[in-house]
Amino acid sequence: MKQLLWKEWQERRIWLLLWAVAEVGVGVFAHTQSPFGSFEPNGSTWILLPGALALLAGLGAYGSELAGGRAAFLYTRALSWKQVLLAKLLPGVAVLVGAPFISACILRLSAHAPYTHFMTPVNLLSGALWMMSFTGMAFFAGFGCSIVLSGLAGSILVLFGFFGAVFLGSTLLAKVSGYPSEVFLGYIVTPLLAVVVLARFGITLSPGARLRRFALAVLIPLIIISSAGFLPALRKNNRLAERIVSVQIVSPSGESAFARRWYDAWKGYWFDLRNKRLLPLPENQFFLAWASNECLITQTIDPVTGKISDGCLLTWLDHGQLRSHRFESGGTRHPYASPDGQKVLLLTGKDFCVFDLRTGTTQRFPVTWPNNSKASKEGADCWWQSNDVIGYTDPTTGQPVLKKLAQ
Amino acid sequence: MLPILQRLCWKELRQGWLMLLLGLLLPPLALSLMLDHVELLTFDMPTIALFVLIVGVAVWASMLAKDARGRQSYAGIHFPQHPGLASLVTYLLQGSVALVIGISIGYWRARMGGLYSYDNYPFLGLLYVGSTFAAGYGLTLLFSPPVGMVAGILCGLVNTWTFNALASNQLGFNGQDTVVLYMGMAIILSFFAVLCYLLMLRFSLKTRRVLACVLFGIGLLFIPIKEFVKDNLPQDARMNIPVRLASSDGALVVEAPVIESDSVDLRLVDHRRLRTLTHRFRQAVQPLGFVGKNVVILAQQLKKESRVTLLRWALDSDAVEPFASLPARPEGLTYTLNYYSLASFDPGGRFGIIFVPSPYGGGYWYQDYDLWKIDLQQRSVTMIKPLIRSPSDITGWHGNEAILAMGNMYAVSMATDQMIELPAPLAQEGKE
Repeated sequence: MKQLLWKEWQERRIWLLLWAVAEVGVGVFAHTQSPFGSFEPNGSTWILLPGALALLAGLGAYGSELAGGRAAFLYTRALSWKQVLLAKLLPGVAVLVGAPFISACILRLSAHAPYTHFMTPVNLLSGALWMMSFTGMAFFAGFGCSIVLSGLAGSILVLFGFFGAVFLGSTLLAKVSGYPSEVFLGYIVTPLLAVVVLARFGITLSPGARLRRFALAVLIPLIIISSAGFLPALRKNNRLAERIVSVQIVSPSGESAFARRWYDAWKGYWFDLRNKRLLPLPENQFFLAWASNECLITQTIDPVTGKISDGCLLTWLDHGQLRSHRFESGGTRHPYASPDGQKVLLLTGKDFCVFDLRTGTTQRFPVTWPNNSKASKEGADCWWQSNDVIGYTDPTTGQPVLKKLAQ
Repeated sequence: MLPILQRLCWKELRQGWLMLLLGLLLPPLALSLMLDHVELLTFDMPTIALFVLIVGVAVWASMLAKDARGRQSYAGIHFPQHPGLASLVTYLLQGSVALVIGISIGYWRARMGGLYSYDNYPFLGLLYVGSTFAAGYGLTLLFSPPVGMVAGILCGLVNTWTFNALASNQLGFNGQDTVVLYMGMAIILSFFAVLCYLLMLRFSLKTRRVLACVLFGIGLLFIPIKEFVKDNLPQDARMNIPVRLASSDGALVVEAPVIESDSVDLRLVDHRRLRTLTHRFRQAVQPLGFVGKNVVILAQQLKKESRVTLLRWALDSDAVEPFASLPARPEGLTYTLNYYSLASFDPGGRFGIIFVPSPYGGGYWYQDYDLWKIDLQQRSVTMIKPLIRSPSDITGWHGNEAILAMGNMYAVSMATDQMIELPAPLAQEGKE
């Protein structure tokens, strides 16, 4: 076994070392390995580097053995297929496990002071595990595909074919169950199963025979997994996920929030945090702003074309009931709340409007806009001078104007 | 009888297992077509068809090159010609078919994708199929059919990416840029195989292979490298959008024009008191929010600095003083142009929270933020949670807690500096 490991090390050390160095390097310098317990990677493209090198390290495992009759020679020695398999796996697994641990240690030792509190052993281990699973998938997928055709190029060719099958299978399943990613991860295991089958008795066969057996060993699990997606329990209409609501924007008072259904982005809700109630909003509303602590401004959107209609909808909570008022034009600029939070000042079309949330009434202040001026395109400033007085900058003169509200 | 049947079944399985497997795939496919809610016909057919086409063209080119290589010695003996001429003729004749296919595919892709302009797509299709063919053919001549197939498929996949990215306008090419860029790529890749072939007659095999790999690499990685470099170039710490921040009643407005130099004039308009105040900062700053009626909190990050400094601008005295600094991603302030929406201050003016682009964050696909608490009285900052993927757009303030919405809801206690998740709502079918 020692000699087998020595042989593997001699043949593949460059790829393994490159993988290890790249993984530690991008983990520490590009922070692709989270030290804070996040299972998601950060947005750095550098994460592709260790993934690609792990894939190449895997792809070279059996591929080189199959060229030039070396596999047949190997089996003339007093070796079992398990020893060969183990010797090919062990160096890769050592890098797979070791590199993220080294990264985690370096990250912890070099961390800025405010971050050290969050770098607990569990969090560091989570980040290392994520990295292991990412590079592990690449390594094992490559390893599995290396057993069919000779050479690195042959292994890559098999990998393309395998991913083509996975792509088609998961696309098919996504249409049925909506869960392609989990199944995709399951697919990664299948080439490994194929390796075990082939390493047992097939490594010295002709390439055509190996290819047929590999396809058989991969396709059967793929078909079983894909077929499972058609089970009624996994179908879209029966899922709990359909009812999950995602809270999008909280109100400034922290007592209400705008929420949307996870699977139907245009189905909006008013979430009353005090009473833990979910109140449905009219369909196809696009969040615009909170005009005051408890007044929501939305716009109607066509979900197919993405076209947003002119005007806006004001929605507020009044004695536990949702009330709404529609402005046919404008209303999307300068939604300012009065100091007492009971009225909203908006620019609707060419008028400044004050909407009273208690009475549901509107007061309009018509303004003359000079043609083609900057103000007519961008609007003019307006504000609350007090609870009963609004102010705005006259678009023609540029002078401030104060208007008292009718009681 | 039974052993004979067993053996016959075994023989059938050995010979016809592929058809059996394909047959097994049919029932789930048929079932899925019968289910109402399954829309198999909405598969992204152009993408799947393009992938199949890549593989087909790469294999075709490799097989052609393999045959051409085999015929070289025969042709060289029987015709007074350059030994590589036969392979070159095969490449050019068959390659022209590939180019015609490419033009047709480009036009078809444009039609299928509902694209508004067809101008560049036939050309891109030509490049897409032509480069796959050229790489497959050229590298098979120099290496082996598997290498040629892999190279062809890689070439096709990379070009498909740019093809689809252009179709959805993810890449910022337009007009002349697109044509020039792709013409460059087309020239590189179309002549690639010919060049490889000619090189193989002049240099050693090793040299020819290295040269082929270099040429192939340039053609393959031209666009990805260009995109990568563009996204990772250090940005200028200037802001290219005008800044405007108003208080909730509109009475106080802080604004700055587009900042085109390092210094910036922030202008405060106090409509109630009919007052205007302008302060010149030597480095670009972003207003974060108002605290009461007399204080504006600002953030400043110097070029290449990996810290953001928080400044307190007292409007009465027009005095600006730094009061805290926190680690941030270099260029983070510029990266997040609407920075002020990532900070919030409680109505009492005691605390604030801010999401700062994390030094541990990446940047190409996602931007991660660190959540900090700002204690305005103690003039200190405390980290609440590192690496948050989707920061809360608006922060609600309820008592001594900041309420955040980031898919789920969270409450950040200003007393304990802890962030806890609040119960998520669940829609109830038919009871709304």
